[in-house]
Amino acid sequence: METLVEVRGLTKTFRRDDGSSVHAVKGIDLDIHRGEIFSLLGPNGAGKTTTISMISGLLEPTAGEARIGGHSITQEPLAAKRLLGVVPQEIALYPQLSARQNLDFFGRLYGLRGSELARRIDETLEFIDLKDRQNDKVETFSGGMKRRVNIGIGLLHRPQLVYMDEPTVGVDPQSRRRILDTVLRLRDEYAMTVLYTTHLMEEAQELSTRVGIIDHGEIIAMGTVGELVLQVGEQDRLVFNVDQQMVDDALLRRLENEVEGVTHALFDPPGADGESADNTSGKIIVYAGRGRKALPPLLQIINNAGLEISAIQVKEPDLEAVFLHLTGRALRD
Amino acid sequence: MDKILAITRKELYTTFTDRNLLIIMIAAPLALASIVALVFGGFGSGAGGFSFSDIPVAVINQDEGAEQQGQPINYGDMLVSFLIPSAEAPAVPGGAACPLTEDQPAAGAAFNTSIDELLAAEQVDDVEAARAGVENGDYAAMVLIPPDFSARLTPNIGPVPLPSDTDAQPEAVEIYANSGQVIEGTIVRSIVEGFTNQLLTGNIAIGASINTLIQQNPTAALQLARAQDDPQLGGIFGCGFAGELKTVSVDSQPVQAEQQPRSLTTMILVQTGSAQAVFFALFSGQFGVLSIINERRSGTLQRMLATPTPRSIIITGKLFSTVVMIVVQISILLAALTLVASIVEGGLMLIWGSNLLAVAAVVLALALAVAGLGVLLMGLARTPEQVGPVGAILNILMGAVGGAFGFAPVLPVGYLSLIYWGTDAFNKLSLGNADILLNLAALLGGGALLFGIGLFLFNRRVEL
Repeated sequence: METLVEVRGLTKTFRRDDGSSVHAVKGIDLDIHRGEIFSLLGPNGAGKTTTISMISGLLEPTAGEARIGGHSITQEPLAAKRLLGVVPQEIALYPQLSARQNLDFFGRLYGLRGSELARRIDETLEFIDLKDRQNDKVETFSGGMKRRVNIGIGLLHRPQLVYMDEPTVGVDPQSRRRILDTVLRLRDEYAMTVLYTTHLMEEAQELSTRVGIIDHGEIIAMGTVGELVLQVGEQDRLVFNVDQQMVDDALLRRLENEVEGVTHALFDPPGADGESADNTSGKIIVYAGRGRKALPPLLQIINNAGLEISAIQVKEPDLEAVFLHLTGRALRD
Repeated sequence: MDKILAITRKELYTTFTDRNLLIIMIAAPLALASIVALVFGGFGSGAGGFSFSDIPVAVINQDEGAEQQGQPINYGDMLVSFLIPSAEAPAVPGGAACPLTEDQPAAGAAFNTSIDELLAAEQVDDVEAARAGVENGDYAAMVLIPPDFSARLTPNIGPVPLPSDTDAQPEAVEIYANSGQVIEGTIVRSIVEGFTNQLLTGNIAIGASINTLIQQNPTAALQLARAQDDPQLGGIFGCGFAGELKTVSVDSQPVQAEQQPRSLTTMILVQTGSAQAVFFALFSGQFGVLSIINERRSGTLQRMLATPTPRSIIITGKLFSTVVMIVVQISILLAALTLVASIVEGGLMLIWGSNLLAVAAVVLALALAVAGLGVLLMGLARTPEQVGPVGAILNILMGAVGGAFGFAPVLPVGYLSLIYWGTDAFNKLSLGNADILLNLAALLGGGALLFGIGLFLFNRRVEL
């Protein structure tokens, strides 16, 4: 399989004002193959954006190197950047310009001109489904529409590699579905390679050819979803929705100690996943080797603690379990 | 180049479609011009509130004197006693005071002030020291009376033809004025010019009469010549300055005599307007800085940097747009002040001089320099909050030492101020002096240096 992105020993250290250092990225090695969707999965602050910023030439590495299509991002930045399309996490558009003017401006910075530029803009507007609003100012758009323009700019010059930094943060479910479908189309219809960062396990699981799990500036596991789950073994995840905003740690320890097969129990408070503020229901998440067998005693202990259970889910092993297995923490901690 | 133009075009589009920015950039200079007009508008008609007194002037009299009808005369001393009333008045041939200059209104009388109150003139000997005094602001002007001043003015009665205007060789009284105190310099020039014009008027009238008399009635002319011992008539001869009718001119440096006559209001408009135009430009340059820092904050700068576009191209595109905006802004201010002056003077008054190409060159050089300063600020500051105080302090310092606030530039420190070079260039042009190459070089050189340092810092310090 042809390698499009090679990362070797990539390191970034920031200096604080008080003279101390923060090691944001600690010598990452990474290969991304042509035509795959590679997800970098990790909690907030794990070093995803710093890593990607170095790969895309926005940050200079303290050490190490990244190559895109064989071009070093530090030695041949312009050649490397020609192969790269960037979709930043924040909406980086000019609100006073129309969707078409935004595309036109960035298209010119990618070196597109004349009829080719006009054709690419038309194709992109078609792709992001905004042709009928192309001449409206971006400031009049909804959040989802702005997201689509934000993505469109990264695709305009038909890059070999598209880097998307948590593109679904803060979007409604409908727009999120549309964005995920777009990512899949980029691979399937345009044969683009996608480097996707997220802290949402479900997205990484749905989209990725391969996943790299990053924590504290290091890649702690890498492979297909199936390969990663195998590292955990057969562990089910049981989720109890309870009408509580906080539970006692002692309860969680009882679940771990008194129920056979339970390896870990934690509480996910309401609002941690961008849920509505009206939602007062927290989640007790339990990892157990044989979930269905552990369910009755778990229910009994939770009921005895006086908590009202509104819903129960039993899930097969997933990347969340992998992360917990590797770090001892939930992905959203 | 395409990318630079794309960035410039985008910047200009976003600026000129933003109503608030337009108000700041265009309406503010117009408002300033109106305020200047309101404040100073009554001055020319005597209703204004400004007065000038004790203008420091160095007078150097190198006049070696001459002999007139057998008696020594020194017209340089006469000029000195005119400028310094406390100085001892010189004797005129025949022992009488000049009736044409005695009791005549002084040139400064237009300001309702006596020469004594208007000028604080002192006689000095060292020309170079006086020049240095003008340059460092100790004197507003230096008046240098040349050695052959009297010799060339001494009457030489005889049957000589009246020269044509083109034959006249001006004998220069040099006025070396501080270009940062153009109003004071112009007042001194007017006074000296008024004095010499009075002498010249008397000279022409008497000379013409005597020549006519000699040609038509030589006997009567001879009797007239013998009557020189009469004190009163001798006094009149004392005012006649040329058998050959040499003209007397005032050669001002850097002031030249091409300018249109103008009122004091217009002079103030020029000085205040030029200083404020440059001062405004500094703040517009700052706006360019804020633009790029805001782009960094909104993420569009990072997005630009993720494209195959070098940082220098992005900065240059920004610089171009800033230059265009400053050129537009200054042009509007200069045009508005020209309009105000024309209304005050009752007719079209090109207060920035008639050399529009030179004015355009100064505006462009100034815009480039100020944009360069903006790039330096951009390299120094990381947030708009930092640009505000740093930029304001820098601008006010430049304004203070460069003479933007109504007082003389603080030299030689003022040479480091873009305001000095810009204001000085506008003042020179307004006085018909096109010798602005040094100003252009200082502005362009300074701008390039600031741009280079700013780009270096930006490349080193930008954290995305």
